[in-house]
Amino acid sequence: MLRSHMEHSRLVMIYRHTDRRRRTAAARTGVLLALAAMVGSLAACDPDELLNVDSPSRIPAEILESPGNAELMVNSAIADFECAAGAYFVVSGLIGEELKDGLQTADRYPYDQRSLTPADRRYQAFDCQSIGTYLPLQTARASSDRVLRYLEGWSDAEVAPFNRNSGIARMALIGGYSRIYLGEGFCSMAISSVFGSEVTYGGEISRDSVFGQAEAKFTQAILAATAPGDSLVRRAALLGRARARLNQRDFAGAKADAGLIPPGFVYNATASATNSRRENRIWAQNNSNTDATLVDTLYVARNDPRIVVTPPPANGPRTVTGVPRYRQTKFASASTPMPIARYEEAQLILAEAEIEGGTAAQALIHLNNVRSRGNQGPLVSVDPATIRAAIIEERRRELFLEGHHLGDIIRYNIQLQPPAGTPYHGSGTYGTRTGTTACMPLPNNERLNNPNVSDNP
Amino acid sequence: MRLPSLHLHPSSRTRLRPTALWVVTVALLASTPALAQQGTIAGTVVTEGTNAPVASAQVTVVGQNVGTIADAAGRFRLTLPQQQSGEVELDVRRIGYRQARVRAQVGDENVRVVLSERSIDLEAVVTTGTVGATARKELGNAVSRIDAADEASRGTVKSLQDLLNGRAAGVVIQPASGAVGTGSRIRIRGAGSFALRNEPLIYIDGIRTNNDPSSGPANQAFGSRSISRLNDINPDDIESIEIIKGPAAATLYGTEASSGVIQIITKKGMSGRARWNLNMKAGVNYLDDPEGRFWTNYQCSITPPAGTNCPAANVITLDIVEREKSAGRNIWQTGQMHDIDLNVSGGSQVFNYYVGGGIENSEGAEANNAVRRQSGRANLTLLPSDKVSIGVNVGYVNGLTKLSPEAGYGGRVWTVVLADPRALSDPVRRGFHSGTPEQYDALYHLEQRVDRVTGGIQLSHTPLPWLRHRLNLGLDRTAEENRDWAPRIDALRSTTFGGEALGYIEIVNRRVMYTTADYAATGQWTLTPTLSTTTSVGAQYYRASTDSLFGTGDVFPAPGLTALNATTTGRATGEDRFADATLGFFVQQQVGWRDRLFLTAAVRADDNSAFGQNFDRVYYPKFSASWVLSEEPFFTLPFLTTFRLRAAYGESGKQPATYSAIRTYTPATGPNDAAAVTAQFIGNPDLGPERGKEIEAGFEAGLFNDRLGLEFTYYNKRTVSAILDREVPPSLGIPGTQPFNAGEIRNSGIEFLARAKPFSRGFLEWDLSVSLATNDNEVVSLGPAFDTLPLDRQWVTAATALRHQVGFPVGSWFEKRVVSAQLNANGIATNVMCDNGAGGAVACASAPLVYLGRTTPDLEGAVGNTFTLWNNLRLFALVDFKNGYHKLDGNTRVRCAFFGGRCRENVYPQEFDPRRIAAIQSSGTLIDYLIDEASFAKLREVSATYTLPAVWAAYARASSASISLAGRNLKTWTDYGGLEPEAFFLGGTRGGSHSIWEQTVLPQLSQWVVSVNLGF
Repeated sequence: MLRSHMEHSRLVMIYRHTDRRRRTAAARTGVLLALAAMVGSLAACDPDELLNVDSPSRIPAEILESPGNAELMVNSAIADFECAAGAYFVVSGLIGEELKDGLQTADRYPYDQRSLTPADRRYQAFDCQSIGTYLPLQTARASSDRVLRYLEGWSDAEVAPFNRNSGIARMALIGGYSRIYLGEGFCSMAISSVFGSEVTYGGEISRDSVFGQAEAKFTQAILAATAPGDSLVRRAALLGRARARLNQRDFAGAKADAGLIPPGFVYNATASATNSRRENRIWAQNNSNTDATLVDTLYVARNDPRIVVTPPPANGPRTVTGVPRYRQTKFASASTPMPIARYEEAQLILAEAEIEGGTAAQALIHLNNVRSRGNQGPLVSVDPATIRAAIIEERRRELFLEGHHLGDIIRYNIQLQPPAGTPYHGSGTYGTRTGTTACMPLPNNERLNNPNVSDNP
Repeated sequence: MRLPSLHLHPSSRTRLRPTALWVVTVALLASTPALAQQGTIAGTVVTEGTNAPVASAQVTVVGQNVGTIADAAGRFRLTLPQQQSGEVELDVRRIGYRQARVRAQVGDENVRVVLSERSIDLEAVVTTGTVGATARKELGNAVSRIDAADEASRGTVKSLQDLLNGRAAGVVIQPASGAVGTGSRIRIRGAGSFALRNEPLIYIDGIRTNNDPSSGPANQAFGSRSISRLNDINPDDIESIEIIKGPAAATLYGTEASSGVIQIITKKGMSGRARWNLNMKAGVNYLDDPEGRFWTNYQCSITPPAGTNCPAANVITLDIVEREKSAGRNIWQTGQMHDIDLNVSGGSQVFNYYVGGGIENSEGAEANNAVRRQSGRANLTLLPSDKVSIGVNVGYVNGLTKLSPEAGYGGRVWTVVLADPRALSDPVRRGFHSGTPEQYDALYHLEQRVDRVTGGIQLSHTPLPWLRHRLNLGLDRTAEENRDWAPRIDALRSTTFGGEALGYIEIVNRRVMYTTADYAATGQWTLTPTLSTTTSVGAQYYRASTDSLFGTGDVFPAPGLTALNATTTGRATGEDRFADATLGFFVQQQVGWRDRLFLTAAVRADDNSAFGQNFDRVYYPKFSASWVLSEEPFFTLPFLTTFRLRAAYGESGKQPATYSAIRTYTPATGPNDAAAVTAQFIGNPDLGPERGKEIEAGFEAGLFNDRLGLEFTYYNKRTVSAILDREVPPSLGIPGTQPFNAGEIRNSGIEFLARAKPFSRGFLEWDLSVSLATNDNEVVSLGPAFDTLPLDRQWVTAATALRHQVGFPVGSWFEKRVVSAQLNANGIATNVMCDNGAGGAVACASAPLVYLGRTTPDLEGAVGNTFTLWNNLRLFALVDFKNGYHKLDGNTRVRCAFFGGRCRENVYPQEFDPRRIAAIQSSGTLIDYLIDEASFAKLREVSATYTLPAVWAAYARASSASISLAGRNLKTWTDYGGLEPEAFFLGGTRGGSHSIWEQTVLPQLSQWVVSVNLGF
């Protein structure tokens, strides 16, 4: 009994002790909870404010893409195009015979060496300043397509005082020329789009197919370019459409458009020395700081006033890879504009259309009109093959470094010199991409990342 | 108080100005009146058995806020705050020793404290993210701790990265370049991320800091920058480093912590008299054996007919290093290094201080490579009451790093590796491939000036006996001025430099600011005599912002001009600004049973500015258990003195890159130079953080009275929702890549550390430490878009020749592999066949890319030996090794396969494996011969440290003195065919997260340093 009582007392004591502990624990937990609540209240003080970060150099698309920015968007797409065109002029010049790479930068060799593979990084992923090609042209093409679609959806009043139709004409023009360069330079391509949050992947299409798209874009530009100040754009679109039709062997159609181009017409990609992205890319690559030098044998020897070069300096005639340092003078400075379309091109398109249409005499009028600029004297011939060859040669000279020659190499199946297998000054030998196979392959970054393009060529 | 007299070289006085300021500050602090002479206790701390002095032991008076740290000779002196007599109890601690308590009479000047060594110390405290420090035994995870003060005293380390190398299992330090001032890649427990940075977070005294491993002007090609921000931290200011290796331990650090956390704890003062420490170093940096390192180059004096090789009579050769040397010109210099550090620490009952400053001048092996740095640190602790402590820690560094171009950007290694026998008679090139070294030095100038302040305030408060809370506020501000410029040198215009000799300049001014606000509270009480509980809550806010302004221009109109506004073309300017902010909360509950079993559970919630708009807050849980088995009554293994089992599971994350959720444009210039924009980034509104989930388990064992200590950890870390960058198909018209939460990566491995004293008798004591870590890394999945594809198509390109492929390590080498070839009579490879991926052979043109190796070591470790002779001479050697990874040998690539070929293989192909010749002759399409195993072992550090007898030290009016001779990078054992197994592009498209590609990178320099350490 006693023992039981004692045990009871001990139990009570333990109970009381535990009870006190419990109460203490409860109080302490209360303090901690209060602290936790205080910490939690930080969350309530608008965490969004704390997590708000701003960056003026990263402009959210949803803010930029609005009617009030229509003019800015149009100019931006033109800027994308002008830089891309410059890069294309350099790259197509390197793949063709106009330019020769004298640098030590191995990843530029494949252009000049004609050994480009779909895995080469520069042409697929580099920007226009670094003479990438596929990405800059696609950026210009996609930007102009996107802005065009926005302009079509907005009303005149929304974008006022900006002239919506003028904008549509310019964007369609840029969309057309981007496609011309893609079509002339690449073996195949894809046309995709990003619009708002909608992403559409295009499948792999042929060169002919993209020339067809270019033609449609130019037609849209011609129809939209109705404002008094738009005549330049309209003519550039007409000549662009002539070029697209020439590429599709629609000689009659090409002739109809090219015939509307008056003497003295030129539509330029503008350039400026104030910003390196806006520089004339040929000048920047050939004259400014680097050694993308001219080919001596093929062009310098032609002694044509339209292909003037400065002779190599006596104390450093060759680059470290042994290429003579001839530098072009056609584009005299960083701010010299680069012609996208001009009267002489129209004349040569007419000459080609006439000879393909069987009227050699008419062809010679247009051809000799251009030949007179090169101190060559008029060609007298009735042989279509001779005249054709003369037109090709004239295009090479007149349109030197204007982004035409690569397209011509493919279209006319010109076999590039020196031939495949000749030792290349960088390393190895010249590759086999020549004539109709000189086109740049669809790069791997398109093939492997676009779900609508097959992984296997 | 008498200041130690400084005998400095007169010419260095002007450079010392910032330090001189510190000295004045220090002098003022050191003369605090609280240090007036009262009761004193002095004595020596020695090691049991050998009686060797125990340097840096912490001696405190129990029950009083009085303490000091023993000097290099183990001596200490305590000054009691008020006149006392009788006996006090001293508490003596030192990492690696058993804590001791001894009674001492006030006034006794010869107290002798004997500490017994222990290779396992479970009572040691570590930082965990909650308030205060936690005893190691309570943690369920491994924390590596580096006793930096001790390691630095040998003189073998010159940077934080040197300190980390070989001293923590599982922490892989891969130095990229031998140039002084450059940095390393740090990987803890393998690469856990595809697209995000794999660098650990760096905290200094609880403040998150700039951990950029790759900054500065791009002195390497392909956008690679090689200056690491970790170099700003003066190793002499560091007390210890704690490394939290993965999500299992880093949960409380939240988003961003899944690659691990490195905690740097700087030196603090202890109450007691002012103790001065002067450390002076002088030494040399040099490229070891350049004659033996570089190759002889070959060329053909004629162009052989197509399909034939060079006739033997036309083979010409050049060993440029020997040739220049015989002409009396050394391509590489022996760089001088000088380093002086002075610090003082001490304090009173209410105020403790550590103030230190240093200057460093270091030259590399190239004329333009040098580092000049001044740094200072003030750590002050105010103790207004026994409940409140206020700490103020400020570190400052100001420096200039000059680099030479390398790695594809030209420079010495480039022009030597590619030396051109045909240019031997060229009076300008003298056989160098491009410019001569002196031309490079004259033209290219790559510089970074840095001005960095890291500071924080810690307020700790113990309002109730069981409750503590603290607030940490801090910032780390780095101002970088990066310049890459060339003056106009007309004489070089006709050389390889061409237009660049007209001059150019690129300036990038960057300001990087890290802000930390960290509040935490901990309640701790005993529920029952056997059960204790610890509850912690906390909130953290981190913000990192980068503002940069840049300007470039080309062509100076005349020599002597170097200003941006003197350029005449190619002018571009720009601005970039971005920020990243994280707000997080945690709550943690720990239960301890009989002080030997500890269970912990925690959860953390985070929100981050880079999460997509379709993504909300993220939660990370954690559980851990620790059981000190050797304290259980039933545990009776006599040889096993200490034994603890532990296990932990935890999660943490890594936020996507800033702004990666939204589609953006960037400013550009349009027609008529009007404002325009261009597409910049495609974004992904569904983007969330990567999540690291890790389980680790292991044990610590102390054997034979803790004379042998073993630590073992197994970890298995899975990164889920791993952010993968897929290239945007260019037809979308937007450059770059798109991040998405896709895959899963698994990292697993073991970490093993053994510390032992195999021999300790008479005059000789031998300490040995061995660490080993393995890493098995595998891409488990690339996400739903890939899971349905055939296995051999489940890959994405990571970088040139690198893939993330399911079933293989992250970022592995994948290329065609030549399996057979024959050489014809002309030495041209024919019948070249490649691996078909299924054990057979196929024509190389249609061969698949096959796995050739991983880019990070699968086994790494280090062996450190210390011999102590006669108690005062310490000999130390550290060998570390990395095994099982492959590097791309770009030196051989450019030598053999570019510029016409300059290898022996190009002119005498018959001497070599036909497969190698086939690849060399393939015009760059076959490169498997370049992907070479880079396993190596290095004699990384050796040192001899002699502690001078006190009477000798007294000649310099010092209380202690030691002198060391230390060497670094003295010998490499490797089969790697390139120049240096440790060289690679640190950043850019050939470096960055995964690639390890060496191309004309300066090898690691060797170093010899003499240092003198004086204590006053």
